[in-house]
Amino acid sequence: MLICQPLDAHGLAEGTPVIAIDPLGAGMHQKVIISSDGSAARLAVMDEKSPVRQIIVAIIDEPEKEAAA
Amino acid sequence: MRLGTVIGRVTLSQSVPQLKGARWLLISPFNRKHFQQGHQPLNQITDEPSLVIYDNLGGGVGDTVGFVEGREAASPFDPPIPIDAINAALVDETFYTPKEDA
Repeated sequence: MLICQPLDAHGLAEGTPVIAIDPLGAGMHQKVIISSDGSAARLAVMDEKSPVRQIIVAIIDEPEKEAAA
Repeated sequence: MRLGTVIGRVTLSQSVPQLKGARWLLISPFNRKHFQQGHQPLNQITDEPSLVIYDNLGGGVGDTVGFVEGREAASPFDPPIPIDAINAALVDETFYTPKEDA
């Protein structure tokens, strides 16, 4: 399980870190996408009675750059 | 899951039958500063709203716990019981190394 810091629209830390299960093997400081949908997380751990909720569903390769101003 | 510090216990006199015998902890959720402090017990109560969680792991005052809020808190129970937050983990250690600019 990883400590994940939610980010705002500018990529800056926003809010309290959450703990998410990590089936993909994300590395330190990589940007990831977290789902807080418990039913997907329960499928991932293959336990219908697990209280798991946050799950890492994707590791971001490189965010698309803003269009040139 | 979020992390929090146990700051007290709650006992009930009357409750709905599904909650008979349950153990309840009063916890103060970690904020970002708290993650940075690690387990130093100074200032356990953060500015995050405190809450009561169902506990069947046996957490004690001062412990760090991982709790789950929302519908998922009731997942372990069949049939469902009316709880909003559950103690899902007693935390041993956390490793928190944020980026400088984060």
